[in-house]
Amino acid sequence: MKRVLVVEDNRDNLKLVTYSLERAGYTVLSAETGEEGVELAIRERPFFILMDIQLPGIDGLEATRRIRASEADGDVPIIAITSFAMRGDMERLLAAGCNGYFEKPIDPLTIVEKIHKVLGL
Amino acid sequence: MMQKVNIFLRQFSTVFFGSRKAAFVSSLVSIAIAALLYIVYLQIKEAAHIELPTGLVDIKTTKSSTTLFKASQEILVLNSYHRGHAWSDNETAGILEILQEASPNIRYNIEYLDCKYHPKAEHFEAVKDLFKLKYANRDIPVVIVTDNPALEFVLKYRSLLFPRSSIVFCGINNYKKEMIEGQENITGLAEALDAGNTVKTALKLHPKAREVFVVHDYTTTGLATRREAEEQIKGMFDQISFRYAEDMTKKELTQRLEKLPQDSLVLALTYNVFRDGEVITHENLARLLSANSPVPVYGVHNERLGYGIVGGSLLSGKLHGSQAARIALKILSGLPASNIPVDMSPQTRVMFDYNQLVRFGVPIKDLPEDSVVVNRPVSFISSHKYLVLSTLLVIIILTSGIIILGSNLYRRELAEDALRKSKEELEMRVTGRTAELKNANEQLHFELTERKRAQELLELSEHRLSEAQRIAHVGSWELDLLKNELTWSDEIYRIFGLPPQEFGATYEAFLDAVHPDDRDYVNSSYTCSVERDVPYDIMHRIVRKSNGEVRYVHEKCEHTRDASGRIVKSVGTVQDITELKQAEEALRQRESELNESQRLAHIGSWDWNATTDTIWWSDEYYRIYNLDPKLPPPNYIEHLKVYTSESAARLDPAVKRSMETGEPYELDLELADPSAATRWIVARGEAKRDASSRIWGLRGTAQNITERKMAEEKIRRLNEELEQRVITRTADLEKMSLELQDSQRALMNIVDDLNRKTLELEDANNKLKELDRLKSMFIASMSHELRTPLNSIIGFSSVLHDGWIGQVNAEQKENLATILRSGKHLLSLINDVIDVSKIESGKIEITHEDFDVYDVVSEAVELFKKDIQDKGLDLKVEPIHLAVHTDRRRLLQCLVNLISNAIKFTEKGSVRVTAKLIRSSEWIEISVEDTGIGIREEDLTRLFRAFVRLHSPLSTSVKGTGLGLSLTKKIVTEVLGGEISAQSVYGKGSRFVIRIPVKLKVEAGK
Repeated sequence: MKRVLVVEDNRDNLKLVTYSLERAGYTVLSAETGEEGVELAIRERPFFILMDIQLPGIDGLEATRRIRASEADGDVPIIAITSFAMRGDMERLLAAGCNGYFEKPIDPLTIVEKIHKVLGL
Repeated sequence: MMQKVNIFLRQFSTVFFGSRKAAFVSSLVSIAIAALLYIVYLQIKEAAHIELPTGLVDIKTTKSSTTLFKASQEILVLNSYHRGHAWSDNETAGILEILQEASPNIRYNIEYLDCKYHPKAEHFEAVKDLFKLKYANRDIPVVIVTDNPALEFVLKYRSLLFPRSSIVFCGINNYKKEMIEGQENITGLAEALDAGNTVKTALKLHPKAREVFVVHDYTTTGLATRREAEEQIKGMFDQISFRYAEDMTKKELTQRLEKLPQDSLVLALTYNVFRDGEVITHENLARLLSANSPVPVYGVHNERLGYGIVGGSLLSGKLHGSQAARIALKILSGLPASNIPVDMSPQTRVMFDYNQLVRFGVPIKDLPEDSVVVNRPVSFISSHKYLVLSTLLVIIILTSGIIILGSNLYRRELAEDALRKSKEELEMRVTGRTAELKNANEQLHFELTERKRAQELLELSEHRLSEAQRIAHVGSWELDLLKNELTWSDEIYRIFGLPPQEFGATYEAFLDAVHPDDRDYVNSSYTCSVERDVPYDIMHRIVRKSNGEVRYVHEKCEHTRDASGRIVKSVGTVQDITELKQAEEALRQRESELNESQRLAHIGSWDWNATTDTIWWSDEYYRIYNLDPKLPPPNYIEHLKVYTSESAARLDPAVKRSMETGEPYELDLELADPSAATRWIVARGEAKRDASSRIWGLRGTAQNITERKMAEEKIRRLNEELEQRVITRTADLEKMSLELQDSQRALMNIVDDLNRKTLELEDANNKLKELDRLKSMFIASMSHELRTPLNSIIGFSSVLHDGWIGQVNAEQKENLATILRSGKHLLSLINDVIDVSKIESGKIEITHEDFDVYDVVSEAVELFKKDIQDKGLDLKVEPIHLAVHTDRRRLLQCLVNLISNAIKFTEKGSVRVTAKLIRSSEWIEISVEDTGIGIREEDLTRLFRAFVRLHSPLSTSVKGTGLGLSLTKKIVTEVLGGEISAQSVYGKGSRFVIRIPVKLKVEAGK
């Protein structure tokens, strides 16, 4: 069972995305803050990470950078979830180390398919 | 030898001092200085030996006296008191002085009984034992005892201590023969006070005194002195009462002294011990008495003088001692003591203290004749008499030396001056004499050469004469009237053009040479001259035989007479004046030309010769001045009158200046001619200089400038007028300029107002913009908040709808679908709003991509496949492949909007999408055509506005936000950089067209 990490502070969103991921056969680990997410990422070494950008404390970008910087999990695929998509956001995401991004709201029926596409699975 | 020395001295002095006199003076000076220094030294040495009043021991080493004594003679000096007791010390000093003077070989022992501190003599026994130890075996020949206690002691223990010694005593008070009764080999001096004299002297100096307070101590000596004094005073002073002091302590004495009445005196006798045993020295007692007594204190002991007593007939301890020593010496030299009687004479001297005399106001002149005054302020001169004298002497010597040297120098200078003068005189005389000789020599020389030259000159002059004639074209002739012989000089031949000495020289021949027309004239002139003896001076023409040339000649001659007075010879000259004549002619020609030109130009000229004071005026000049040319020109002063006084005043100085400095002048002058109108001339003048630049005259011109002057006057008047007009015009202009300034100022104010308003507008504008921007940002940030719950609505409803959570029945599914649909609708609304706000706030992001238009169109169309099928419409997409480089997503968004609208508003028919390149392939045009209900013409304008929903039969059933087209327009124009337009026929259909650049340019900074 592949384990994946979702870093998301909104419980409803978390629930929805968990439905989708579990339906696709993944075990879902979750973190509500950036710091927690970094910790879990390093400790659990998930298959991939869904990172909400708008987080309390350190935001998703910072968390991404830290995970990338750590030795343990420098290579893990990180996909960002953002609600702004303003000019320059995409560049910033890519610069921080994200492999791709989705804009909110996320369609739970198609999200996993889209993730696989991004990761080339 | 003496000469040699002399020479040497002279040389030496000259070398070192410059002259003998100087040497002499310098040596004198040095001697004087040396003498002065020595005397100073002596004086200083002397000063150290000035005797002070009391107390000091002054030991002089002097040559030993002639009396010789046995080696190691011994003497014992036994003092009653202690060392430091002034009286005792002085006695001892006196003794030792005499003894040492006599023989330095005498060994003396000095002992002290210390009886002032031990007045009761209880220690005598102990002392006796000590002395026994010391002196028993020493066989001292003489023992000198001072004062009463020592005598008592010695007498008591004589047989034990000094059985064989002679005894000499001194300082014994109240001496009585009985004291030494039964004693052998004893003699000495009695201390005799002179209280009587003291009191007498004191009373003389203080006549007002009525009382004498006598102080003494209650030792043996003290009491003895009292008795002695009493005896001396007894019966002497009837008017005076004497009071004797009791045995007192120091304090009591002090108090007593203070209370003494003004008309009393104090007499101090022996006082060494107070009642309580306190010992006091002689000096301190004197001080005490003097300090505490308001009245004068007198004493009897030398030892007190200088410490407070005024004076008295004072005993000197030293004298006492010396006397005793003398007696001792006598004994030592062999004289037995018994043979020397006891000396009873007083050893006193009347002495005073200057300070105390001054204190009590005792005048010095009242003092007795041979009294001594101590502490007298010694004048420097009296004490240093020798020093002062010697200094003066030295100064005198030095001064005289200086004077001698000075006068020497002066005399030398005088001598040098005299010498110089005589030398100069001599030289002058020599030079004078030399010059005279030189002159005479030259003179001689001169005369010799003169003679030689005269000869030469003679020869020369003859040669010159002929040369001169040649050059001057003047020949000389001589006519002998008797012989009718004519002699011509070479030059005449030349003038007449004849080869010299060819001519047959007769008068007739000469006439032949004369021009035919002038012959008669010449002949008659000459004949006339001879006959009447008038001067012959004529000018005539001749004709040169050689070439027929006519020449002018000037002839002159003089006649010589013989003894009888008859004219026998004529001697004359002939001068060729042809050139001269020609020049004259030319000159005359020129003159007339000049006159003509002057007349034409109205310029006259004048010429003034200062040396001859002649003036020449040209004809025109006369005419200018309206004067007759035939008259001689007026002189300078006269001519000034032709001008006005003002002009004359200007002309005169200019002329004078010109004469002095050569400065030319040019002046406009007015002629004062009452008969005619005002006339002006311009007078110019300049100086004439000769070869040496000396001014020898002036020349000048005058020109009639009346017309010019008048013209100038007119111009001046016009000028004035003009200026006046200018002034008035300027005043006007100034007024206008002021007005202008005012209006300018008003304008400036308006401008300022405008500026202010503009600023206000800008400000308002900025505020509006800001507001707008904030609004957009607010919306954008809110979007996140709006989207989040929507996420849940759409997500959960779709998850449930698809049965992920559990089975759902048909109605539940339908209801969930409704929720889902509504959620999606709301989401699209929010997206549109957000897009609008993004575009408006400039935060829209543009991504550039290369893609095929057909792809985008297909994608857009794909979304509506279902709806098209449901409505039964016909969809046509032209498969046009065009490559574009722009924002794909946004283009898709617009196409979706247009296609959606097309489908929405078409019930039946078709929707057609086409694309093509336009504008030389730089732009692309995409059109969406439908056969729908169309748009009314008046609505076309409102179409792209936000929130406009057109009233149509379908509007109620058609969902829409009203934002779509306005957003699409915004995207097309502001994001894709293109245009959008709509055409429609109401009821037939509509056509929406988007035109965008194929290559979207990157906009900076939006």
